[in-house]
Amino acid sequence: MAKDNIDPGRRKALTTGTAVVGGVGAAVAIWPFLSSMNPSASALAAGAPVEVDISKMEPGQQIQEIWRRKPVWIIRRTPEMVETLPKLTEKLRDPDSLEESQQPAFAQNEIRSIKDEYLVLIGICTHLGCSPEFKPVPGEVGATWLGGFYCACHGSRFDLAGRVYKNVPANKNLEVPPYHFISENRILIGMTEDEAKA
Amino acid sequence: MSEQSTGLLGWIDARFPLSKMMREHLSEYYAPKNFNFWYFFGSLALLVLVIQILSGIFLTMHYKPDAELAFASVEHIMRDVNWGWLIRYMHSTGASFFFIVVYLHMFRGLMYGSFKHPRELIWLFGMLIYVALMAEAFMGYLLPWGNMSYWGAQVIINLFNTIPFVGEAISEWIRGDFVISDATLNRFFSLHVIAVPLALLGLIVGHILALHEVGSNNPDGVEIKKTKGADGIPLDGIPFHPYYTVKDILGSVVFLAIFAFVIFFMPEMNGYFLEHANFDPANALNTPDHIAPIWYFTPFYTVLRAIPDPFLGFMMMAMAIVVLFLLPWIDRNPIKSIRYRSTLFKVNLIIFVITFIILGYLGLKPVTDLYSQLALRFTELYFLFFFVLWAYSKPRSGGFWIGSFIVLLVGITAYDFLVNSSEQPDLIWKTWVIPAAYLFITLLLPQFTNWDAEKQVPERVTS
Amino acid sequence: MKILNKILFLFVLSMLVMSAAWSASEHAYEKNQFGKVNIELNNKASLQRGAKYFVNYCLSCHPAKHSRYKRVADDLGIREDLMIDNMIFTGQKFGELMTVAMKREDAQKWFLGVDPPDLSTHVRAIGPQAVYEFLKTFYVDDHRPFGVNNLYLPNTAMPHVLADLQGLQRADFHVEPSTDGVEHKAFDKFETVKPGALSDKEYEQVVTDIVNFLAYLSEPAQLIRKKVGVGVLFFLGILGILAYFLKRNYWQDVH
Repeated sequence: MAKDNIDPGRRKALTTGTAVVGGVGAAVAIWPFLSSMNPSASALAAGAPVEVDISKMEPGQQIQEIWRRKPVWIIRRTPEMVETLPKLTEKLRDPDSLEESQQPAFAQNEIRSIKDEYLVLIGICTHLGCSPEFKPVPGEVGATWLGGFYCACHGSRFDLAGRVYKNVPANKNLEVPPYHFISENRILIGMTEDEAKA
Repeated sequence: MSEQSTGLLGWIDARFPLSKMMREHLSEYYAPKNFNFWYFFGSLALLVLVIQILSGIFLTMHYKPDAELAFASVEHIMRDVNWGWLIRYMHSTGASFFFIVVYLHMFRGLMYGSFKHPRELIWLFGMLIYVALMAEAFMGYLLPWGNMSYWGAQVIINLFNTIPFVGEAISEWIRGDFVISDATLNRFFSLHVIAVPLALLGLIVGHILALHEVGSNNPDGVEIKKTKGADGIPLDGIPFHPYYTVKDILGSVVFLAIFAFVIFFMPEMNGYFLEHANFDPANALNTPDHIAPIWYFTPFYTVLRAIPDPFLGFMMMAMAIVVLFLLPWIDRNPIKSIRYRSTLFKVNLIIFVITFIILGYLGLKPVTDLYSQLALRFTELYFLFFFVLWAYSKPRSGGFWIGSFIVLLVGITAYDFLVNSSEQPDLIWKTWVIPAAYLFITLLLPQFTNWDAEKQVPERVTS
Repeated sequence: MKILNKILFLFVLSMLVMSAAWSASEHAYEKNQFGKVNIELNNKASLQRGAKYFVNYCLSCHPAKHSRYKRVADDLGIREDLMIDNMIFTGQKFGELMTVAMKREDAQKWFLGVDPPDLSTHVRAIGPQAVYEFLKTFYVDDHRPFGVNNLYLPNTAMPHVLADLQGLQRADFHVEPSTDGVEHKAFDKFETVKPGALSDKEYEQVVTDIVNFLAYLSEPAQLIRKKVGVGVLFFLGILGILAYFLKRNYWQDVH
C-alpha cells in the first residue's frame, strides 16, 4: 500500500516530533495532579508557626506544644544538665550532629540549641515514630544514665540534647524544629530567624 | 509481524497475549478507509472517560461525602488545594462534554445505520453505556451539595413517587430518608465513585469487543469485508494503527483545545455547565426560583412535563429512552447510510434533531401556556419519528400512507379534545399544526412526490 | 450530506446563541437603569480598597468562610503585617478562614430570622451586578425595621450599612395602570434626603470596589485561570500543527 515517493526520514521526524511534544505536554499535565496532593492551604494554615510563652518555666521543667500536629518539647535545662553533655561524646552515634536533616544550622553543635538553657525538640523517636519519655534523673534508666530521653517502644536512648546513643534501634538524633526567640520569654516554633526576616 | 518477538516482549508474549491483542485491535484491525468527521466521537468518548476517571480520582482525595462538609470541601478544592480548581473544572466540564460527544456519536449511528444488522449488539451495549452515563451524571450532580444539586435530586427522585402503590416506598429506599439527606449523599457518592464506573468500564469493553468482532460501519454503509484481496484483507480497509491512531490524535488535540477553552475561559458556560444556584449551599427550606435539570437531561425532562398525568409522564419519559434501544428493530430498511436513503428520510432525521434540541431548550425554561403546548407537540414529534422511521423500512402501498396519516392525525386530535387543556385554548389549535404538518410531510408526500426515491448503494466505499 | 451537516451546525449554533441571550428581569425598574458594574480583576488598587471596605462594612455580619486572609493578602499584594494589623478584627490567624465573630442565633434574631449569606460563594450564585444594584438602591422606608428598604431586594432584612457614606435617599413611585387587577408600583427616581460623607461619584467608586472584590472572592482562581489557559491553548496549537502534518504524511499512503 505504501507509495514509493514517501520520504521515510520525514515520517520518522514527524512521528518523533509529535511524540516528544505530546510527551512533554502529558508530563506537564501530570504536574497539577501531583501538586494537588501536597499540603493544601488549610493544612499549611493548621501548620502555621506557634508562639510559646516560656516565662513561667521552672529549671528542669519540660513543656509540650503542638506544631504541625506533632509534639514539640521545650526543656529548660539546668547548668548541671548542660554539664552532662560533653561527658557523653564516646557513647553517642552522632555527637556533633553531622546529620544535617535533623536540625537547622544554628543547632548543629553540642547543645543543639540557640541558648544553653532552652532545648527545643520534636518529640518523635527517629526509629519508628513513638514519642519518647523525658527521664531527667541520673540513674533512672540504668546505672550510667545521666538524664535524657528514653523511648519505651524499642528502648532507644537520647541524651539531654536529644542526641542518640550507640547500639540502640534509633540511628538519628531527635529532630530540632526551626525556631527563634521573638523576645526574652517568647519562642516562635516553625520559623528560623532568617525565615522570619524574609 | 508473524515472527516470534524476543526480549521482554517475547517473555511477556509467552505468558500473556500482548502482541496478539495489539494486532487484533490496532495494527491488524482493518477499518474502512472512508471514515469522516463523525467518526471521531467514539475515540473522543474514550478520551473524556479517561479525563473523568483521572480528575475524579484526585477530587475524591479532597472531597467529603457528608452533608455538613460536602459543600465546604468543594470550595476547599476550589481555593485551598493546589490546582484544585483546574481538576474540578476538568471534571464538571468533562461531564457536559461527555454528553456532547456521546450525543454526536449516537447521531452518527442514526445517520449511517450503524445499529443495523450485524451491529445490533454494539448498539445495545452503547445504549446501556448511555443509561449508565445518565445515572453517573445524575448522582455526581448531587455531590457538590449546592442548592440546585439538592432540589434537582429531590425532584427527580420524587418522580418515583408517581408509581402506583409502591412509589413512595421506592423513593424512600433510594434516598434512605424522607427527604434528600446525608444518607442519600453518602450512597450517591459510593455509587458515583465506584459502582457505576465499574459497570461503565465493563460495558465499554463489551461495546468495543462487539465492534471489533463484526468490524466498523462507514459513511457509505458498505460492508468492507465483502470485498477482500488475495491476502484476505478487505480492499477498502486500512489498519487502524497507524492510520486512524494518527487521525484520532489530531482529532483529540482539536477536541482538547475546545475543552481547554471552556475550562479556562468559561467554566460555568453561562450557567449551563455549572448552574448559578449551585453556588449556594443546599438548603432544605429554600427552593431555587427556577429548577432546571442540567442541559443533557432536559429533552427527557420536557417529555415528562408534557404529559399532565404524573405517572403517565414518567412512563413516557422512560419510553423515550426505551424506544432508542429498539432502533435496530424499528428501522428495517436494508440501506444503512443516509447517503443512499430517500430525501424524506433525511427530512425526517433533520426534524428529529431539531425536535430533540427544542425539547432540550424547553426543559430549561419555566412552564408557560405556550411552552407546555410546544412541549406536547414536540413530544409527539419525538415519538412519531420512530413510527415514520419504521414506515420507511420498505416500499408501502398508497393505502398504508393515507391510512396511517388519518389514524395518527385523528389520534392526536382526539387527545387534544379529551385530555389537552390550556389557559389559552387557541394555543392548542395553533400548535396542532406542528404534528399535522409533520405527518403531512412524512406520510403523504411519499404518495404524491418522488421524494421517497432511494439511491443505489455502491459495491465499494466511495472515497 | 455536506449541506445537511451545515444546516445542523447552524441550527445548533443559533439555538446556543438564543439561549445564551435569554434572560429576564423582574424588577420594578428597568434593566441596567443604575448602570452596569465594570469588573476589573487586574485593578489591584480597586481590589485592595474593596477588601478594606469589605472587612470594615460587611465581614462583621457576612462571613466569607471559604476564603482565607492569607490567600486574599497573597492575591491582592497586601503585606502580611498590614493585613494582620488593619484587616483582621477577630483575633484570628493569618492563614485562617474569614468567619464572623457573631453567633448564628444572634444573626437570626437581629435580621428577622435570616442568616446573612456567605459572601465567598453567594455572589457567584447571584452575580456581581446584583450586588452592585443592591448596594445602590437602598431608600428610606419607615415601615421597615431598619428604616430602609431596597429596590433590588424589596423588604431586605439588611440595614443600609453604607448610609454614612452614601447618605439617605427617598424613592418616588407611581402606580401603573393595571392590566390584571393587581396594582404595580413603578419606580421613578431617587432623591437625596440626607447627604452622606461622599459625593455620588465617590460612592459609586466605593460600591464598584466592593463588588469588584466580591467578584474576585467568589473565585480566586480567576486571577490565574485565563493566563494558564493561554499557555495551554498555545501548546495545543503547536501540538495540533505537528499532529496535522503527521496525519497528512501517513494518509498519503491511503489516498
